[in-house]
Amino acid sequence: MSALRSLRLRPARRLRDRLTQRRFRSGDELRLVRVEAQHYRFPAARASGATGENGEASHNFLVRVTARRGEHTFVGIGECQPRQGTTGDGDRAANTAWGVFQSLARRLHDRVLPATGREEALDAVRQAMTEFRELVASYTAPGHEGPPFRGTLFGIEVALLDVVAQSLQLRISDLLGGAREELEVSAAPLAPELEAGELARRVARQRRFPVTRLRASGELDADWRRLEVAAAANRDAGWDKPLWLDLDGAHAGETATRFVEGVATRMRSDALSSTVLLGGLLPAERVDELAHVQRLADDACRDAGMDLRILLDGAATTPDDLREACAQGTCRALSIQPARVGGVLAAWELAHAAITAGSDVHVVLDGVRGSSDVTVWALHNLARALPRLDYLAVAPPTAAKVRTTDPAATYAGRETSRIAPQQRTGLGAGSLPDAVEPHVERRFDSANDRRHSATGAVSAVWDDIDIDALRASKESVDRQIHDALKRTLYRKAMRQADAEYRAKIRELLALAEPRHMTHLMARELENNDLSLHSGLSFTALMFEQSEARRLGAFRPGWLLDNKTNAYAFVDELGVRRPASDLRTYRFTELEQASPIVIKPVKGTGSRGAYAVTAPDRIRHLYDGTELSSWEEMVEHANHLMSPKRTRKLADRWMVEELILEDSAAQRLATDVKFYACYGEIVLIRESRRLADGKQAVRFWTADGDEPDVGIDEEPLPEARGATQEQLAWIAAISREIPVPFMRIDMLRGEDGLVFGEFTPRPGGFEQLNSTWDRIFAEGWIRAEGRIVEDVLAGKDFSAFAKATGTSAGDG
Amino acid sequence: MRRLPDRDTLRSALGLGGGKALLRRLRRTSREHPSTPEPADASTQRASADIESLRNTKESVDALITDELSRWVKPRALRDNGDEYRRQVEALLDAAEPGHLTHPMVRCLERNDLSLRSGLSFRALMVAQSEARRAGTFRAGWLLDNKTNAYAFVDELGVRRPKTDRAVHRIGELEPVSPVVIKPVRSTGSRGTYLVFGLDSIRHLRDGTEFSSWQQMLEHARELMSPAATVNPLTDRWMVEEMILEDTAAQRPARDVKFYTFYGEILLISESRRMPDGSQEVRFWDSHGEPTFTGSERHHFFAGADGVPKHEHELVREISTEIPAPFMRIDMLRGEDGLVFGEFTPRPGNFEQLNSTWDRAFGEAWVRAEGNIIADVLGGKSFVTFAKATGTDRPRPVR
Repeated sequence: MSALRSLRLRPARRLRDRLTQRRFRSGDELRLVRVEAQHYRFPAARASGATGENGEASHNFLVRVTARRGEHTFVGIGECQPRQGTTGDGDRAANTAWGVFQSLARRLHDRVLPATGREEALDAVRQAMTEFRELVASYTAPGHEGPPFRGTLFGIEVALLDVVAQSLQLRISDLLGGAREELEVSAAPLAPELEAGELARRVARQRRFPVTRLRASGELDADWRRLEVAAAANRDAGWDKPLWLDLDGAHAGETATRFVEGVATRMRSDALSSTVLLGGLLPAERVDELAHVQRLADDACRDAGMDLRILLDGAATTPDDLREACAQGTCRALSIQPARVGGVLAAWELAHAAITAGSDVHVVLDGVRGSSDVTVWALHNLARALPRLDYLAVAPPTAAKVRTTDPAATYAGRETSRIAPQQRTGLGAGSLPDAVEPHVERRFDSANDRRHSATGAVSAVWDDIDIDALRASKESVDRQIHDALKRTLYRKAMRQADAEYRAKIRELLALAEPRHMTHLMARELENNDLSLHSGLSFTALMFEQSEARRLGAFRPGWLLDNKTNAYAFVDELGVRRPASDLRTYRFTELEQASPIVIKPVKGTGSRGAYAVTAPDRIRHLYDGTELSSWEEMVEHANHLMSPKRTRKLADRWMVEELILEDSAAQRLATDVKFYACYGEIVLIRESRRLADGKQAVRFWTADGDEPDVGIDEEPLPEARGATQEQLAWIAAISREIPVPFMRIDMLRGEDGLVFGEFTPRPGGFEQLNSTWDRIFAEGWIRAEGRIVEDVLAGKDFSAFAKATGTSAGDG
Repeated sequence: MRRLPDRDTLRSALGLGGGKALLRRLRRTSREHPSTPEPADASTQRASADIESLRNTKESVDALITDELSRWVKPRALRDNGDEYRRQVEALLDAAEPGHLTHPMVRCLERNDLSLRSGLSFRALMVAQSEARRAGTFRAGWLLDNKTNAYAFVDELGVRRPKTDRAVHRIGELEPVSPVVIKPVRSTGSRGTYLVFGLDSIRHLRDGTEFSSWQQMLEHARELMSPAATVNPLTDRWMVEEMILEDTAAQRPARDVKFYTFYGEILLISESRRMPDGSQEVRFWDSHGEPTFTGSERHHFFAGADGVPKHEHELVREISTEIPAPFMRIDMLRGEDGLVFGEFTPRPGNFEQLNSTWDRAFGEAWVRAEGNIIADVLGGKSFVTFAKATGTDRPRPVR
């Protein structure tokens, strides 16, 4: 047991001096002025202590909290370790955790910590963390146990502890009450796949560590044998080191019992050392069997001077859990992983609970996979403050590819397992954001976060997180698509590409969007005759135009959205339109007449449009309501203008000639709408209102085909489409409008097409399927080209300019 | 119409949080099924599965964003709720793309003075222009990508440019003279561009390789043309031009001053020079002459950059308003006695590296420029100079 000497509780000399540190007046508040974070992938290192197993990189958030007290600025750092089920932190890519982090970080921004003295500082941090824990408490994810986002909260807490400790000129360990100065890492685990000979050699090389720690293979015989090999190697080297085996939850029930019996038997026969620690013997859900197995071990060891302990790990994350575990029987060893239990303070409390629960509970301090220097510094501070510490499994990440602090966490020397003393206050080191930068996935900075003014209302947190998590998910997908393109769509690869490779590229391009592309990729597409389908989208163009209008950029098409301009324009071109005096009336001023149409000056979807076929035959076109007298119509219109309505119509009306398709049958005109791209008709939409007000629609191409454009409408039975002459005529009209797109809405009257209106942005454009979204966009860009060509050849759009008042003289 | 997947299913698939109802649901539902990361594998089967899963994830996220938008972007809710609500909608819109919104939502945004920032993106515009060219549509700007047109155009405008005989030569037929610049007719990134300071002092601009004789240069050029020696051989078509120097005495070649112009509006200026070792120093200036950063700082910082005096802005602005295209980068050389025309660049390299602020600013300037062009056309402008220089002043046969 001599090996554990340095870990024993020992009052530190310097400590008392430190605890009588200076206090601040309550006016000298500590204000958090900035919270920054980098979400980075901590690359996996060789198996070594707490830095992680071989394999996947871990998601960490490196947190920096800047605080100010008077003239002084302090920067605290911490590292969030979202580990899904292990820490209750949501999805694999840490999207949810990142969303949660941002939301909490916004709540930290500008917060005042009443950290005037040691106790007050601890309370302030504890209070903030309690608040955060409550904020996220309602979250759960399948397969996650315990309070959520413990790994995320851990990093925030460390940063806060760092900053308050610095402001008091204390180390975090002192802030927590400090118990020991010297720390010694107990062991570095040896991999399960090592052959006996190699294992013995490695054990013999571990001169610096007081304990031999092995990772188990999961097979009883093999693991017993490995313990024996290790014990023999230690004996040969002249050491009596405790053995520690990590079983990774491999056994339960009978097997667990047999394994423990086997170990006890070997200890009794001196094949193993007299102190053995078994970690992860039981799977988390079978932890209730622990008491039974430990009792078995105790019985075997009694009077034999042996110490065989089964570690309670993972399952106990709160003092209550622990008390429960201890109440069931014998808890002889407790493993604490702060990221797993939800923070440094929680870990500290858990250790105290262990001491209270049983005087002889050994305490093991461990980290989770993927702990960088920042976390190692934090855990070493905790290790200096725990009321009891028997095994310290948190080693400096010397094999890590990225060192995240300056100074890095290190041993005191090459041959020792002692940890180098901490020279600075707070955590003991500053962060190295630049070192992390190559691995960064995303960043947060409360200083330029437009949402940091959040009121902090508790009810809003989920909406915050939802949106953040959503954005994070989108960013992550975007990044994956971009990366996939980057890996595949480059010159050399494309030069050697076979048909199969090109097919894969096409598949990838089918889901890519312009925002995923680079200049070089665009060149590769051009050189290889490949196309990015989404690169031309009518929907995107419509949004571009909407944003352009919002900015006040001149969009000539919208000038024709105004009826006066539109009529003036078609009059210039000699196109027939409904006769109208173009005046605006109050409804009561309207003179009774028929056949006419009465329309609101501003309205959509023919709400308030009345077709007065005869004095006793009036139809509200919007829903097909039949009205049998002028008075009924007045009443109906008054209802639509009623101030009680949410979308009330203004009392501004116009009167027009009623266009009929068949005046004998009093059949109203059919709508024929032409989607025109400056001289090219892309699509025709023929529609009628059925008696019930419903629209029946048929689409046509310029060639007379009936395409599926992706819009489901009631089919129009007797549709006729447009003649070639009509198409040519409408195309010619569109070629007088200097815009790439315009829908020209015509009415089919008794003797041909009559102009209805211009629609610069057709409703439901987003419903076009992707083929037609692209066809429209291609029409648009061809039109753009033709417009410029025509301009260069001398075209001046005089009819349009004159009708809209945009010609030179009109300034 | 697209059918939306069940919102809660999507949420849990993505590991997103939710309210109390979701909480209960999730407690009932099954355990997590984490997928282990796959090592990079070149096999196409693997690639297919990856693409498939990527597509699924993307579709889920897209559907979820649309779903959230339809939950939030509502005229009445925007009217009745306060700033906090609006802030949420803005945050959501930050994550949205045009494809996520519907026509009624656009109207709602317009009426509430909300903006979809991703609706205007220079990057998206550049990609669209690339597709437009592929479709064979007429793009006026690209006519100036051709040196003959470009020189004819600036000559019409009376802008100074390097003297040249405009002839294409084989490299072996070139007469050894100095000081001149020798360039391949087609090349990028100044590969094969030689600065001939004197017949015994020649520099390959791209990497700073120095030659002490014409012969050495010829050998170097032949290597660049040899399919055996290089992946991307140059063709044997070369031009010779006057060398523009910034300081004749010190034989210092002119620095580049590149103007990002949007039909009369200069948004950004990059000032750069090649160091003798071929590396580049760059500094960006905004339209007010203030130093700025664009997010695409790949090169060394050009500490000695001087910026551009206002009267030179005027010159470049005039050139750009003669081009009937919303965007053109006008690359000038800073000669001893003022700016000299270099070339036109209709699509700047690395356009994707502009940070989001500049990407949007360029997008905004583009649509403003579109509007100004058409307004000028309606006011009687017909771009005669451009049409004449590019031979587009006659109607083209109808296709």
